[in-house]
Amino acid sequence: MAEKKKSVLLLIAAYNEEENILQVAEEITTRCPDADYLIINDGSTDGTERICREHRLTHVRLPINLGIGGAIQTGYRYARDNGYEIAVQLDGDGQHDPAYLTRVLEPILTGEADYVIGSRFVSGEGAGFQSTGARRFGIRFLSALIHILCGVRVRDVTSGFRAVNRRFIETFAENYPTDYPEPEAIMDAVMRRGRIREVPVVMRERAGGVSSINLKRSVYYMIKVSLDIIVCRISYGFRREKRST
Amino acid sequence: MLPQRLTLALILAIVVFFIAVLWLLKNRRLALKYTLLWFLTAFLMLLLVLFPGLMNFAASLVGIQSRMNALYIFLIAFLILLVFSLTSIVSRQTDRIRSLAQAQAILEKRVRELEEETFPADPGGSGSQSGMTDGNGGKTDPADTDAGVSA
Repeated sequence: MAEKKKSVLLLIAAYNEEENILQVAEEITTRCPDADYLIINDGSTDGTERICREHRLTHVRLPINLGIGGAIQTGYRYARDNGYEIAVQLDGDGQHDPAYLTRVLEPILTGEADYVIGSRFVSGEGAGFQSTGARRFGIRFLSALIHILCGVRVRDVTSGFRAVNRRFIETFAENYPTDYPEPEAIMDAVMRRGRIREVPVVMRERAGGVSSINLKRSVYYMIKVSLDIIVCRISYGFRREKRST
Repeated sequence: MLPQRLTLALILAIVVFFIAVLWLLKNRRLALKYTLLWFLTAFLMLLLVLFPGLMNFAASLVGIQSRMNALYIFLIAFLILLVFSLTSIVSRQTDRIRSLAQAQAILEKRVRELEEETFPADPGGSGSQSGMTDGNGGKTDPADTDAGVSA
C-alpha cells in the first residue's frame, strides 16, 4: 500500500480545526481512496496537532502560523518534491464535499484545463451553501474586476476548492500569494496563460469552529485583494509568459 | 553661527551616538551594512554642526526661505526613507521566514516518519502501524541525509 505511488494529492490547510479535522480526513480517506492527502497544520494553537498524531493522519506541522497562502504553498512544495501530478486544495473545515473531487479533477485529467475551481455559483447543481448576501456582493465585485482586467470570467473567485496540474504545482511551489490568496492565485494563473475552468460544486456550511473572515476584516479584505489583483495585472503586463503548450 | 555652547553639546551628542553604533557593532547586534548607514548619518550631522552655513546653501537650493524649515524637511524626508527601507527589509525577511518554515515543516514530517520506521517500538507512537506511513520518509537516500548533516 505504501509503495504504490498515487498521482493526486489533496491539500487540506488547517488552522485550529480540532473539531473538524478528523472528520474531514476520515471522509477523504473513505471517499477518495485513490488519492493521497496532506494536512497542513498551520501553526495551530489548539489540539489539531495532537489529533493528527493520535490518528496518524498524514500531516506537516508549520512551526509558525503562515496564513492560508503560506500553508497551501507548503502543500504545493510537498507535492512538487514528491512528484504528484495533480494537487487539489480543500478547506479544513469540512465545507468542501470530497464527493465532488472527480468533477474537479476531470478537466485536468482530460487536459482541458490547468486550474479548476469548484464553484458555488456555476449552474448545474442545487443551491447548497451560498454564503451571505454581502459576501456574495464582494465576490461579484472581485469577479468583475478580474474579468475587466484580464477577460476571464470566474464566478466564485474566493472558492478554496481547487485542482491544479503539475505545471501549476511547480509554479505555486515557487510563488504563491499570501494573506487572502484565492482571487490573486486565479489572476496569477491567468497571467501565466493557464487555462481556467469552473465546475459546479455544492458547499456545506462549516460544521464547527469559526470562519477566518469576519465583518471587521472584510473591508480590509476587499481593499487588499483588489489592490493585489491590480498590482498583479500591472506587473505581469510587462513580462507575460509565453504559452507553453 | 551656532552658539559655541550648543555646538559643543551637539558634537558631544554625535560622539555618543557614534560610540553607541560602534558598541552595537562590536557586540554584533547590528549588521555591518546598516552600520555604514548610521556612520554616514553621524558624519552628515557633524558636518552640519561644524558648518551651519551648509544648511543655508541646501535650503536655497530647493527654494526654502528658512534654514530651520529646511532642516526639518530634510530630517523628515530622511526618516521616511529610513522607515521605507525598513519596511522593504521586513517584507523580504517575511518571505524568507515563510520559506524556511515551509521547508522545516516538510523536513519535520520526513524525520518523524523516519523515526517511526527506525524505532517502531518508540513509546511515543503506536509502533505496530509504522508500515502505514505513506512511504516518503522511506525513500530518503543516504546521500541526502549526509548533506543535511554537513550543512
